[in-house]
Amino acid sequence: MIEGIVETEVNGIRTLLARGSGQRVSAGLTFRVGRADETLATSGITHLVEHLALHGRRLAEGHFNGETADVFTHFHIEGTAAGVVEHLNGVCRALGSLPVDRLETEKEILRTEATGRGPAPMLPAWRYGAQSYGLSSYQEIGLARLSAVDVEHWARTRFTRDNVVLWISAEELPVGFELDLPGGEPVPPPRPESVLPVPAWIPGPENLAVSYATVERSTAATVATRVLGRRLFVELQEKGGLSYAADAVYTPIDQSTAVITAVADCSPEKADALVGALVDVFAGLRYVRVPDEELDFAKASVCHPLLEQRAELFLATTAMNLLLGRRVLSQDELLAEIDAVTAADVQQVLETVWSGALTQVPAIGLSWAGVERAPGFRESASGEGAEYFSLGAPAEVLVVGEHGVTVRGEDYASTVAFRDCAGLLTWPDGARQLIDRDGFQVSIEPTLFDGLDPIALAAIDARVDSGVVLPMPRRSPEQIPQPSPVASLGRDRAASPTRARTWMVLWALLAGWIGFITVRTVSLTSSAANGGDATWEMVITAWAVLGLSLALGWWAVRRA
Amino acid sequence: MRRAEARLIEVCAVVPTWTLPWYFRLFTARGLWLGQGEARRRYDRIAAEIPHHFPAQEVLLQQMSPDWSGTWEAMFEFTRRVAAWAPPGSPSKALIAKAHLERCITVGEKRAVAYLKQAQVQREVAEAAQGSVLHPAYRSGPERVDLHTTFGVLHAIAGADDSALPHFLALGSVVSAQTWSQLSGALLTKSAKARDRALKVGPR
Repeated sequence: MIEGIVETEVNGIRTLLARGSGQRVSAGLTFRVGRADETLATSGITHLVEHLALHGRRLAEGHFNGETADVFTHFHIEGTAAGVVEHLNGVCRALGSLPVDRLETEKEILRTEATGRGPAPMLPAWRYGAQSYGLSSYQEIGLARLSAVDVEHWARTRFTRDNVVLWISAEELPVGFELDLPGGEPVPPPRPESVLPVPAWIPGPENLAVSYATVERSTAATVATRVLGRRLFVELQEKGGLSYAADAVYTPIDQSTAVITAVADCSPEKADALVGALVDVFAGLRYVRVPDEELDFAKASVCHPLLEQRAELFLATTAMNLLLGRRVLSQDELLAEIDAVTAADVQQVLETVWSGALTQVPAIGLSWAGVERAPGFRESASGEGAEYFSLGAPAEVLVVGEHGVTVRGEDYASTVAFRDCAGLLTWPDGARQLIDRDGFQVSIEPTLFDGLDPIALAAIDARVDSGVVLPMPRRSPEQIPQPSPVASLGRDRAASPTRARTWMVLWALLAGWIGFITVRTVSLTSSAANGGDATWEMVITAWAVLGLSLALGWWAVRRA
Repeated sequence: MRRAEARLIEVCAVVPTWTLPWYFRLFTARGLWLGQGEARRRYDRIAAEIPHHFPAQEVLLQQMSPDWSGTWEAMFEFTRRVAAWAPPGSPSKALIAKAHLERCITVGEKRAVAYLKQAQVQREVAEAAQGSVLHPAYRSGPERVDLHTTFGVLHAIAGADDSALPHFLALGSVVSAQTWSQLSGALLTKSAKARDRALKVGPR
């Protein structure tokens, strides 16, 4: 345990206490539950519980906030001892009886919050799919179907006194804590399992490169991350003048796994040089042992916070490690581990990073450097079924089979199998999007496929587990895609739609006129000839010609 | 090309100041279509060790042609900057002549002659020759034959026999295949005839 932190218990809840300075008390409840515990169909449920638990908490003084992360949910407060106790007691009371009458209002607040955040990084979804650690890439699209029963159940099973750590920085343990939480089980976080063969790259914006790799949690990995960050800064920012910001970050995600993320930006005209420089930075660290002075610099920057001797700075991380079941080392033990890290250890970690990284880079990609592009779609057997042809893209067809849905074009095919479906997004205008657990998607726009009517859509809905159907908000007419008229007319006419239209109208007029003249002639003739077989034949022929002419004319007008 | 690049990445990582593998990586950058920025970055690594690395400058020059997704403006700006930096007698001063050659063989026979006849072009070519191969400080190197051939040809096509003369004389019985083989039709005839005349006249 970190020196200066005492482990104790408050009403059956594991508690960490550090002697803080001054009158202010800082404290938090950290629960071992987060977005990675959800599914696509329940995504947003933890955040929703957090919001509901904080609703109505008003404090005369002090700051409080809540935060939902991948595997943790934090409630943090800073204030007087009495204020802190009152707030955390209140949070626990609220978790026990959530103000579910506010459910829809809080959902709306969460949606507004999401629009303010902008698009989430896509790398986790590529790496883990539409599940566990990949969910942070998705909007909280499960909100729409979450009921009061769902959120109450989630609160009762995950926000328990066996799945939380209380941490306090104060001169002494404040009195008056009730922290009334139900009993439960400690829930280990999901295992991070890649759905993608690595190393791989995906195309991203022209001004950014991000490498994302998992490594085994270790002190060597934290030192290696500092070495990498420093090298990126020196080579890309200081020497190369390519980046305004270049660094690497180490983030533990469960008991034994951490993510190392390397990020560098650039101006778009230097995108290719950024990618080249990134490859060379990694090569420089993989093929050559890092020099002593660089290693020492990295070690010093990892040691620095440990030497400050302020135990309260370690409270939150210690709480998280306790929840993950990871042994908490003392400062001296940590310093000894840092000291023992060798250049070879660092080299090995960075080799693991390179060979296990999923990297988002500008368009030139990384194939030239021996890293393959991650597949954006995949096809599997969707079984026999109805086919619908695209009205927009020639040669594109949608197959709604027994086992799944496939969209197939000239050089691509993407299938989502019904039983792997993590979410079926449904829009009021009929649009559907199927997302499977590995994150592959098929989008279905009824306006873009011939004959895709409500009955056909119902056939899709019927085959998907109703528990993953996610209603989406109404779209404005501009948001609904339409087939381009040029494309639907085919390539020849596309060259000059106006001229084609003129010809069609002329053809319609001509057809009508021919028909009229024929019938008129035949009528006059037949009335003059007083019947007879020959005349009847003429009449029938004339009407047939008229019918054909009108049909052709009508067809021509439609095409025009 | 990818296999070569993989080995070169490793060599450059192990000996980052060795310019030869970086020079080879200018070719792989071009062949793998890595773009102007990456080619420039590789050239800069060479220039950091050897500021006036003429062979590298020549490769980068080619990369900057529109054939390889560059622009003529960028190419000429590069040659002018390189020339301004280079010491007297440096082959880098001649780089602009290579740019004019690149340019003229892409515009077609007739326009090539008109292009080279422009007073400014002839002046720039002559200045480049005076600053490099004709400069007293010039030390003969592997680029010598090719540069004399380039200068001789650029003057000969424009009908400037007098200016072409010292170059063809310096070459004597040889020309650079690298440059000569790029010529065809009238450009080749004009160059060959001017060379014959020069060798007949001899030094004055």
